[in-house]
Amino acid sequence: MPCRVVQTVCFLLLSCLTQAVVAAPTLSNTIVGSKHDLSISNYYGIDASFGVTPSDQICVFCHTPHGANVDLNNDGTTDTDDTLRPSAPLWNRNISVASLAASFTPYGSAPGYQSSTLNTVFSASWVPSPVSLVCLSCHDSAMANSGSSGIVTTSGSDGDTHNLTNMPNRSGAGTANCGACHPDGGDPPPTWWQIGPDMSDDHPISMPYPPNYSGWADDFYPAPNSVNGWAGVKLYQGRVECPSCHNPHNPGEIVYIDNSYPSVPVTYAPFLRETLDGSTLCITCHKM
Amino acid sequence: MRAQFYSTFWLRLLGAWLLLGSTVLVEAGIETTKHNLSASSGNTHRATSEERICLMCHTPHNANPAGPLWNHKLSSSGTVYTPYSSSTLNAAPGQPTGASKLCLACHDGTIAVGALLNMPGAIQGYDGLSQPYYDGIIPGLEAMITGTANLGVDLRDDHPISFVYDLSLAGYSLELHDPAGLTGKIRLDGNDELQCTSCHNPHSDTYPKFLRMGFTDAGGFGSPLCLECHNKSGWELGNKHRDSEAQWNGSGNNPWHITGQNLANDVGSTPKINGCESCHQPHNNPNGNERLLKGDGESGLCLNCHGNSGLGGLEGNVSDTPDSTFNIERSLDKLYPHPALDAAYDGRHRPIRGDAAANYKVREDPDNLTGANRHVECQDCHNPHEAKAGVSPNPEDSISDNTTHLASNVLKGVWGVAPSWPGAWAEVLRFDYTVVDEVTHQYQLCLKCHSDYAFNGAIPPESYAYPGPGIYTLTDQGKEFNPNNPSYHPVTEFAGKNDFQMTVSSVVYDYSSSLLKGFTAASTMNCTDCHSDPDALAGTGPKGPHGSEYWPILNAPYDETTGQSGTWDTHLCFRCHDKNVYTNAGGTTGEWWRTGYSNGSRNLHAFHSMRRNAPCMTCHSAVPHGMPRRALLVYGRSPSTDAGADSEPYNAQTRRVATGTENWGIPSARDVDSIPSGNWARSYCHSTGVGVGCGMGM
Repeated sequence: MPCRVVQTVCFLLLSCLTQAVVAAPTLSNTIVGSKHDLSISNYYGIDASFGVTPSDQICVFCHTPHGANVDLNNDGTTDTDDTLRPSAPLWNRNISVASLAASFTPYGSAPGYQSSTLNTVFSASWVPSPVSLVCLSCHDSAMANSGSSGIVTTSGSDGDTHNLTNMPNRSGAGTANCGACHPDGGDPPPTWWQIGPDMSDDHPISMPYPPNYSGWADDFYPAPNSVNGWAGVKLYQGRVECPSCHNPHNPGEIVYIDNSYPSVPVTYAPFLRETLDGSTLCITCHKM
Repeated sequence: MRAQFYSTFWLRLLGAWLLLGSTVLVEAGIETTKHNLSASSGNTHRATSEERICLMCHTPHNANPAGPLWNHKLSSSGTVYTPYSSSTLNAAPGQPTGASKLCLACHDGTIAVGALLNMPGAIQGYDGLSQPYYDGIIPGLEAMITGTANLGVDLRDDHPISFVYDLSLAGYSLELHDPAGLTGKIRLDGNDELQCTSCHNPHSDTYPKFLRMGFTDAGGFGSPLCLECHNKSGWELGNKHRDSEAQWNGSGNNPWHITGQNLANDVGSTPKINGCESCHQPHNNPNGNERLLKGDGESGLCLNCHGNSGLGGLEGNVSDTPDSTFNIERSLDKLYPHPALDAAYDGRHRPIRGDAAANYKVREDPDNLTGANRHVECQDCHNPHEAKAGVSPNPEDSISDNTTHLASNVLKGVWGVAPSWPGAWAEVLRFDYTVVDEVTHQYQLCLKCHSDYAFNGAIPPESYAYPGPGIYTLTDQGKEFNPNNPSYHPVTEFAGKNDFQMTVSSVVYDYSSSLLKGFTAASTMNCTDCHSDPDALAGTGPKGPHGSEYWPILNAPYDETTGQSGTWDTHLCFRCHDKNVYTNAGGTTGEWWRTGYSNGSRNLHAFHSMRRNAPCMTCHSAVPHGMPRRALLVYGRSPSTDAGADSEPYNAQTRRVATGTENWGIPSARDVDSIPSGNWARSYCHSTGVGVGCGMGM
């Protein structure tokens, strides 16, 4: 974001405006304490009822330094980006569904609304890219909830790892942090963070950024870098993915303490790469 | 921090503004439109504090799949809309579908402008408890939409939406382009349906009213957007309704700013600028809705421009009519008009879309042209999408072809009927007529209403009948102008029957010099050569049978006195027929060779005029369209003394009381067709050899 401000300032200087000096925003620029912090320091105190000892690790719920999952889409080959690096960063979660195409319902497939443009992009065989499957390995009831026999127990022998490739503390006890995802206790996790597998009601992902299609330039701004996008909003190999808009490590400023409205200051929540104030995030791409 | 981010946003806008001030055109974004409902937008409808713009309609997650990431609440599923309908519509708009439902969620006025499926902050509220998405209304946007933006649930006054526009529809001769060509700014949705979004781009008001194209094209012509789909036949160079740059002249009402209607562009606008919207209004149309006209769909629409100024002047209210030929209302206001202004006739004009046999053309049912529905409106004779400037010539006009019988430019694109002619003086029945899509000859238009095509065996009463004695009603002009008749005025494709040749004492004489204005035996003519506003002859009124001081809509006097002294310089017949031949205007009975009605030494026309001051109707039909015998001759004695006399109104015997000639006439026993021209004899009418003598008792 500071970079963006610099851009803006330069822009305005070019516009012969001299007095604008804008301070960088101060955000809670850390995953610690955010909703992506599943460690004991951020849990809600119900794990004792399960007899578990929550882990105090943070990164482990997504990342592992060794033995990482490099094949998120289960196609038998390493998922790579354009530089042939693994596209899933030392990922510690698995996608366990048998068929991605059968599991996910793409955008635009709902009856009623027919987009004459997007329907040419999303077919029944559409699947999310590994870059987005990273996120969906939690934000999808089908995968994060896989298994039915309960959670990782103190014995660690259940086998339902909630799709974690490598459990925190593989020695056994003290591995889980149930309350982070089950704030109400034994009930299923709240559904509001479950994005998939029906993604017909979600912004489309895993498609080339539209200006790569002819005839769409009227509706979208060209990206300064057609592969990587903007300073704020990212593209991944020229494609729109979950992390195009979301930065999973930076929750933005969490200021909402309940669901009362109106809310207060501009934030980058939830985990956004641009503010929604003035819909800045949206109009980075959308020429409106 | 909020202020910081705001400053970023606003500074960017400011920068854009600075650039705009120099050379770069920045396309208007949604931020500057009425669809920006955020608190800082300054719009009438705006939130109290919410600054997000997109979320008023869109959400990235948990959207309503009925639309593109739709976040606005839809109108109640129980909302029933009344779709557009018209008697000339082939499309089948039903309840709104697709994107139109999304637009109507605000624009039908049934739901708060700020009613959202997912309120902002819903996903943020996680404090350890389950925080579902929740709906609500953005503070400040609790009101429903009002004003012209509120289309309501009655969509009959709006352009139809949510109908399939496919090649089949376009193929119905609906004057629509092939939808496959809609690859530009105007498009259909994924189901080939036309929606609100086909014409409107809710994200940009680069063009007024969120339209996808401007009001005018590069050439300054109006309605390029409409013409993306509508392919109106004849809407081309030369069409006055398309090309005219006339402006309101300040008199009376501004024709394009009608009270209660949407304004068509600005003061100073012209038909060229207004395009379709000179006459049509695509939304909230208050006038009977069908075809979305800015008038009643009858004369009321046309008279917006073609009417009196309201100030009593000859001229109308449009600037390019200095000669007042543009003012049709003044003509329709005359004593004997086609009754387009008569309120009693309102609501009778009912255009319908024909079936496959009619190639889906817009017509009227012939039954609607007669009986209780008999009527005439501007649209019966004119096609405003095709009409061009140019009327049929008068016989007096100094042009190379002043004897044309072709339809003139002002009649372009209007339908009519072409008969297949039966034998002489036989009824031409409805089924003898074939509908023609575009009349080539003027009579084809007139016969649409003035023949059995409309009458179907029952001639309707004439509300504008002759005011004097005698029975004068409508007659069947199809029967009268049948070219198989022994005589007729030549308004059809065929020249008249009179060859103007006679043989007297073995010498052939050509007496076509009895005709003026260059007419010959081969000439043809138009109905409007006689039936027209007389002011057209003086250049002070419109050509055509809109109305006249002279019954029946004649452009010169014509009555039972015509032919008597005092009528020779003013009455109708003598505009084409040389008064010096037919009367004793020249003070002579000579020049017998200039008329077939002679005995080889005397001009019997002049003789009867000089001796008896006889009117034309003594021997010729009072309805001089056509007759079952030569030279439009009529058996004009009273039926009480001559059972074979012709009937009214051809026989003007009862009308001739005022001229003292009521007992005169050709006895029916005389076979006039057997008499060679130039070989008439007194005894043919005056002797008793044919059973009855002439009324003069001689």
